[in-house]
Amino acid sequence: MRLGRRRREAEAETASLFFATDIHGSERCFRKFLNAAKFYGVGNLVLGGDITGKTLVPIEQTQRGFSASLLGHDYVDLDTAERGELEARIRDMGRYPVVGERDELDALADEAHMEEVFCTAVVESMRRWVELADERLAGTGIRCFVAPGNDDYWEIDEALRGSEVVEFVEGSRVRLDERHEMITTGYSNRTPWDSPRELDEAELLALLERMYGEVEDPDGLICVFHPPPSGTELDQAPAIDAEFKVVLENGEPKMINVGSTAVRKFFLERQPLLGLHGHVHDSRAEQRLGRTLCLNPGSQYSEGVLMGAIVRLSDSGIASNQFVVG
Amino acid sequence: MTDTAAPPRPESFSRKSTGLVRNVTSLQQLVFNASATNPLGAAMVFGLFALVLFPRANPYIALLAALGLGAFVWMTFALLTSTIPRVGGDYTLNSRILTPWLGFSGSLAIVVSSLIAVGITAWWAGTQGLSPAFSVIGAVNHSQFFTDLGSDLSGGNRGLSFAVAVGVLAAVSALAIAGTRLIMRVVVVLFLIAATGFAVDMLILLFTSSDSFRSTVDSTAGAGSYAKAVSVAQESGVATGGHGYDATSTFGAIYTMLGVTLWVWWGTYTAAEFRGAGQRRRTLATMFGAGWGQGLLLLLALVVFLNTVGADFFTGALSGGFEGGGGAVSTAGYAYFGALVAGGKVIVALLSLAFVGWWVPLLYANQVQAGRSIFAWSLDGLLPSWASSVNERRHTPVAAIAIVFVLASAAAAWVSFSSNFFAIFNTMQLFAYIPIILAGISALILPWRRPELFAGSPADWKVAGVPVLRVAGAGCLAVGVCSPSSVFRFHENLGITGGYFTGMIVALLAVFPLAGLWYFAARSLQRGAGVDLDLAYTEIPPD
Repeated sequence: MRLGRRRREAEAETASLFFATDIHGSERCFRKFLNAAKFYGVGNLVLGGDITGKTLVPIEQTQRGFSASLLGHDYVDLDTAERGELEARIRDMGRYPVVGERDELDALADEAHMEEVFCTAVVESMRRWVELADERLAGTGIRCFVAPGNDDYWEIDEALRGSEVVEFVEGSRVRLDERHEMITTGYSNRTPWDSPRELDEAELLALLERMYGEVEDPDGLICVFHPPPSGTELDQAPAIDAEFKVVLENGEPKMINVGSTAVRKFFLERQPLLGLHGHVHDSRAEQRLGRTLCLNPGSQYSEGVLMGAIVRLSDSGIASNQFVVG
Repeated sequence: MTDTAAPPRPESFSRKSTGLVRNVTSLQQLVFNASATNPLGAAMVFGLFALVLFPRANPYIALLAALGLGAFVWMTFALLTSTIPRVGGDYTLNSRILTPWLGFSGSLAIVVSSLIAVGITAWWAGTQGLSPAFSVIGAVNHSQFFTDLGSDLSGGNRGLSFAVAVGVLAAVSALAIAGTRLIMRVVVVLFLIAATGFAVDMLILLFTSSDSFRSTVDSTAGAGSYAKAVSVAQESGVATGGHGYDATSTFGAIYTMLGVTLWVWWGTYTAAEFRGAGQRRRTLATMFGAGWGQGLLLLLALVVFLNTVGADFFTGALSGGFEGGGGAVSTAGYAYFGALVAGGKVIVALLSLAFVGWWVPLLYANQVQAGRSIFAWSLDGLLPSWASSVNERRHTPVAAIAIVFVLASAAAAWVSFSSNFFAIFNTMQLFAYIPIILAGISALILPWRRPELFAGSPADWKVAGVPVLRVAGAGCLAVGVCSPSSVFRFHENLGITGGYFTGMIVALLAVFPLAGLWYFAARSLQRGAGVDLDLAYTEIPPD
């Protein structure tokens, strides 16, 4: 990728991919993701988990119109067209609009009810995304691989599996070209948030080994594992206390490693070609663990910015890789 | 759409998911911002430069004007940062809004400025830190050894000053490589020691009458020493006594004071570390709180210092009219004179050494800024990949720190062996205005250049119908252009004369073509490696 690391002229590109992750419901990021293959000139799109959003934005319906608050702006008495614009903006930021009268919105204070409404909004959104993907990618020859991440509801799997073009690759092996195979999981090691798809490190390692057992040519293996390997520059995050408050040390956030020891152990022992990771949004970095190049492109989904990595592969390995902010 | 006050309603409901973290308090963020800029004691030293460079300037008016003008710059960076909160710094902001090579131009300029600042600060650790400390210890204890050492370190022995500077640089670099937590601990401890010393100095001066101070000076340096210094000031035309303040000089001093107050915008570099930077109110409060809070403390400190010590005595002493400091009376005089009137030998030593504590935090802040930029350039392919290598065990950017050490050592040599410190100091300041100018332009064109980013963002804000970002951007641009322009008017006051003045202007203007050449050469090389640098920040069309 860098100066002095020239691609050998004789080496032809055998496959190329664009990897993005942790878009957390940002519709703008997803639309960009679908256009990324054409934009960057790659043949494969890989979305590495944590696809769904984390926040509902209530829009109150009254006799005068629709009202909501977003990022410190108060929107009052919107008409239907204006409400549509606001909803689009909310979705672009990775949030879900939920429209109702005041008593319906107040009921969201009940956590169980909120979860139910949340899940419905997420699944509806995922169905629309899948339709959009089918519409844009069908017949293009571009392959689109998606796996849910630890934060994603189980209910979205069905929507993803229903796509004509999106390949649901959780826990499976796929072949990109004659030299390169890819194994994928969105499961993470345990987090303080007890998210839906978490495993103990031993269970996670077993899952990785099970997928590895299906690989035919380990030298060209690409591992799309949502959590980065522990103890690297890809997994640095602020420590939090029991109340989810950032722990400060000497006036600065105390940074700790939050990645997976199972992923690290797997990489050190199996030495695949490439590791593609997310999970830790602000730890954008690349680092080698022995032979394995590990990439975490980071995430800025809430600003509608799609961060990603372009990787071009050749017979001898990785021809080039580049972080992009699209 | 209307955008007005509305009845309270919940803004959002968040589910429990990874990364759901409660914000750090605004106070913590404010302290973080404040520590990223000039620490107070160092700011006091820089503020007193105004009296040296612009005799008969009114430092209070100059400081207040600088705090007002700085608000445009802080507002601009605060709004841009809260719009693109997850990345810090002018490099990313300007690259995304303008073009990558312009963003790189600003970044290159601020890195040049930071590298000079690191070199100067390392040199100051000896000349402005250890030198006055040893001098005052020597004066109070009647020790010729310490007096001579203070004199040598003040620049009398250039080789020794340079060696001390490199030693300090090497020590701070080694600590930074050993671990960020370790260096931060050292920085915080030294900061607290220096701040305590500063507070004690100010309290001593506050409760010392000017007559009492005069007696102390006379008893330490010989009868009539105080009056002699004042008469030197009068003869040199640097005294205000009887003549009042000079408006032109005060105008020039605003530039010097801006150099003290402006850098609160460096809080943008730390925005990525704090959640909540995307909230306009919080970002504004922490940036303005840090800027105006420190400015107010500085104003009070100036009042106390100049009321007790006397501006005429101080400028006279700086003009060579005071021999009690063994040649080491510099603008670090607040610590020198505070310690002098403290009396007791132990407290004199403690206060003098406490003052040394300011320079390491200041050095480290500049070192981090330069190192982070070099690291980011490497990640973006503008430097070889080894420049962003990280020590796996310590998680520290070893190569970037080493690069900064080498280049800052060269800057330390420059300042150590130069006969015109202020020319170098002002060169450092001038380079730092380039990203400010670019940020002003970014703010002005953001609504048109990146409408999707601007619409509904924290920067999309009107007060009484006035678009705040546009006003702030225009002000930021004006400050960025006009402040350096004042160097043309006052370059002789600032010690920038003759060929140096021409060379400095050429160097400033050369930043843009040099950055362009660098960027496009790197782009060409990277293309050969299958990487297109133009894609690094080019937005993918969503539809």
